[in-house]
Amino acid sequence: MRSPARPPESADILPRYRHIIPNWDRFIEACRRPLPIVVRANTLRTDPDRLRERLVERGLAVEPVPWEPTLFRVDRPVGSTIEHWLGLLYVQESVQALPGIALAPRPGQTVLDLCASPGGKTTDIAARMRGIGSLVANEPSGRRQPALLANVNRLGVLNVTQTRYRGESFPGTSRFDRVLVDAPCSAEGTLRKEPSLAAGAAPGTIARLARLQKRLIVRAYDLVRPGGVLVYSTCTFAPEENEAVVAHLLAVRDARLTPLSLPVDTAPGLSSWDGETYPEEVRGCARTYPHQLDSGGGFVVRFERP
Amino acid sequence: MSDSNALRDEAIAFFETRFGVAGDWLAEISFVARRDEIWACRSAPPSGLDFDRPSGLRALRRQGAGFKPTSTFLAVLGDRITASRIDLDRESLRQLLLGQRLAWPSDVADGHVALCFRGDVLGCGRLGHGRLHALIPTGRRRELLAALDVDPRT
Repeated sequence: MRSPARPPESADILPRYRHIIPNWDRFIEACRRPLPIVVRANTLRTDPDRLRERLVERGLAVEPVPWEPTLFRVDRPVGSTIEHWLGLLYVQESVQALPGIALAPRPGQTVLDLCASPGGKTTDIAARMRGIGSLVANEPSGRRQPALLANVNRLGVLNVTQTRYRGESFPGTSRFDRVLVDAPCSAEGTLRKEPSLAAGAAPGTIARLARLQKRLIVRAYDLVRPGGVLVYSTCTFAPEENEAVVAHLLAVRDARLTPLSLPVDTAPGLSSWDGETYPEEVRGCARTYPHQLDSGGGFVVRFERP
Repeated sequence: MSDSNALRDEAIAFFETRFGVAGDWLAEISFVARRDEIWACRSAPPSGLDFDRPSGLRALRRQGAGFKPTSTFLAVLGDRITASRIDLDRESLRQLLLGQRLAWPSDVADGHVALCFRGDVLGCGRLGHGRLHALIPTGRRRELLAALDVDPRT
């Protein structure tokens, strides 16, 4: 087993965000703590209470995550358990439940997960749909498709179709009730898992990803039917990949940003960054930080198409 | 790919008769043939999309005049399987996962069976002439053996 990486020094952690992250000292303290192990009960296969009983029977300490009934914190890795093999659970960070909560897909709907691998959000969405309706899981990267396939099989999802389009050129228009863009990003919010990210992403990397994200969010918006919902999420703190991408969509499309009602404390979207000012409604985005959820960090925003 | 009523009826009849799965649950599933495989899904994909694999999960493979069910789909059926279940103890399961054929006197008729452990359906096996072997894919067998080795329960 790999020994846990040493936490980064406080002064080295993402200094460029010091003036935008609330409760900076608590943020730093959380970033230096080990990340809790969290599992999501796969409700296509089991009841959350039954999963909890099973994990307790095998000697784990199991604690519910109070704001999401399918999530549990456990005191040990569970990736090599029979319960994992059976697809009764999915190991994830608790913050990763927020895009699915924001998307709120319903049984019978037609839903697209545009950047799907490794399948955590896909299988979460499928469970929220109770396996009923049509869910398209798109993943263009041949290297990342096997993980998606393995998780869809392991969790026993019967309503997924896998496609391999480049997200920015996914075909068609106005066809989905719900679209999720969990975008490729610089992943700074995963620094508790990957301490090497504590220094922050290189400016060139952020700029390259932001260009891709702007193409993805516009294409995704055009795929939503009138009255439908688009959710854009990342696991990074970089405003260039978050608020600036949202502002771009608002500039080029008649998208309506709808304030989120999430069951956790979040911070609002930024109104400006690095000399750039964003529209007022961008404040309706949700930023999440490790000290708020004792999880990773992320960003989520929800739009309706008029 | 085809999704004829005859194919659907054939697949439903197989799971009803061999595994005792209630027909009303199966009636909600679409079965789609691709070459010698039959896939099970609960929805049709939106039109106009290209995909390499049918929607849903691989459920059956044609084998001569009959079918072989996949371990993945048997696990999805889970508790809905009421016939042709073989309950294994830990050591028998280990031996099957290691590729051994076990002498297995049973009232179950020869053919494909659902291998079960502590009440969970793990996947597909085959019973014939008093011997039982596992048909769970090799990679998944390795993973399950590893999980079994670290399981503290007896």
